[in-house]
Amino acid sequence: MYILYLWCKHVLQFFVAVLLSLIRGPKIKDKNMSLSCTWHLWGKSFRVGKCLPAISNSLRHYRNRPTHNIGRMHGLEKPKPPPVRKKEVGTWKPEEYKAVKENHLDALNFIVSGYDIVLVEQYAKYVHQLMIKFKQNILEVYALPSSNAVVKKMLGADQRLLKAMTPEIELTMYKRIIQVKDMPSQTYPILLQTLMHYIPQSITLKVDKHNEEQHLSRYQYRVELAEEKAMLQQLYDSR
Amino acid sequence: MATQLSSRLFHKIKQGGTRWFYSYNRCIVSDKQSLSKHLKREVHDIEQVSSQCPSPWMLQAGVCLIRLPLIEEDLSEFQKRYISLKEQMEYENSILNEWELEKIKQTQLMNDIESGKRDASEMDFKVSKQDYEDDYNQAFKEFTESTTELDLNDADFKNINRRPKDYLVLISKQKLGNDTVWMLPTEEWKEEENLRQSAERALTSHCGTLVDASFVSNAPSGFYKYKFPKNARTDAYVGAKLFIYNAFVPRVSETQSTATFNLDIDLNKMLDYAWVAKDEMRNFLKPKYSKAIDEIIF
Repeated sequence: MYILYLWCKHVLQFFVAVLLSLIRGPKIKDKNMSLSCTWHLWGKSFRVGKCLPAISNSLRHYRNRPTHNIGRMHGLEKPKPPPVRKKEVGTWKPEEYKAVKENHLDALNFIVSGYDIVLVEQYAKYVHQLMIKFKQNILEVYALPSSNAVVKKMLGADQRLLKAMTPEIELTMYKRIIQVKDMPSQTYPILLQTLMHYIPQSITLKVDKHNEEQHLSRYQYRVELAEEKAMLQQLYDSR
Repeated sequence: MATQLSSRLFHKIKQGGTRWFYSYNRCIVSDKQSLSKHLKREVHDIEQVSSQCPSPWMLQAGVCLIRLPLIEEDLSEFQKRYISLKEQMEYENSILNEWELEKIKQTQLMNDIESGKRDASEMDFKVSKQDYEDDYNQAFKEFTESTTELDLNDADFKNINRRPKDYLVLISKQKLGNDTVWMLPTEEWKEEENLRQSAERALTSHCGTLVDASFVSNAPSGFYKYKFPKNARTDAYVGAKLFIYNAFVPRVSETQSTATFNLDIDLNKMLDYAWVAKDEMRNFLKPKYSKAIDEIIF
């Protein structure tokens, strides 16, 4: 029955289209309308000169499609008109001002130092990740050689040296450096303040400009080079 | 009839009242393109504009002098439980190290010697590892810290070391007209200088030149706009726009955890001062003012 109904509908539409095209003639003013379409009816195709998709189904609901009830405003609030202004309000037009040129900072060293290696490494990792997230130009991330501080216990008169204890304690200071270049001067204060907030206890963060000295301090002392330099200096002085 | 229908459709699309979903093919492109043709944006010089139309707002720069927390915050209950669980798991999954293995061997050896299973000549150590450990524990008990304790007098607002776990901000009591008002140290902006320079000037004029606070950026971190009371309003100024700059009290040394602050107050400007934490600010400042500062501090 349903198939019969469909067939009847198709046939009806076909005849209506044919009739209309006969009545109205070939010219239609609206350019957006499609100029020709084909009607398929069980394998046969009938070409109609100008067809009118506007007539096709706007009353069907397509309830199994996800687009069902699009545009339905039943029970919803209609958009309200804007409230009538009683005060006289001048229109504000934004004016463009000349922007200051962007300033990029030179190579900066973020030095993380402390006595607890776990905290130092974790915090250095945090600094590094923050720079990555803010998409900064990270040049290098390296560790400086750790420095030992020896603490000697001075015993009082009533204290005795316990048989197992040593009077000297070694404290090693660990350092990690994150080198960042061309940081825009607007983001630098923001990053610095977040780093200051999240620093753990007993860790120091220091921010320096990158120098030649700092660069050279990474290299080991060259014995042969120093000797040869000294010899050259002697030759030069003896002249 | 077809043209009538089509024009009705057109009309509906223009209105935008209902959505006709097969009409997206023929939707008219919105008016955005046409706007750009007609409105040309003119680029102005700031000085030109300001001389033409002076604003009724006085520009001020204020300093939010912050003392960072001296001690870490306490762990929450959840954090404590998690940490103890993690430590337990680590301990249970770990392997005995050399020291502990040696200790076990030595205690076994000593027990065997006592019971007679082994000879006394097999002892190859003078001081056993267990003795070392006993000494260490005793030294730990006898150990006294020689550092000075922080004075934890939280009630004294002038003490910079109060409330060591919080961020503190310096606020001062100033004269505004006839009233005294609690606010941040502020100075009016002068023509020749930056906003940051006027903020630095505010700090030195209110707190003296010995304060060695470090400013972090050239741009302000906060903003607060307020109108003067009707008595104080003039033809030129309706109110003031306050730009707040962050400055941090420096850390004296890597070993000391206390902060020191050398104040040289100018009593004409600053009648009274207080180091105030975030939750206490409402007792001193107006709610909108304290909200503006809240957004700056962590």
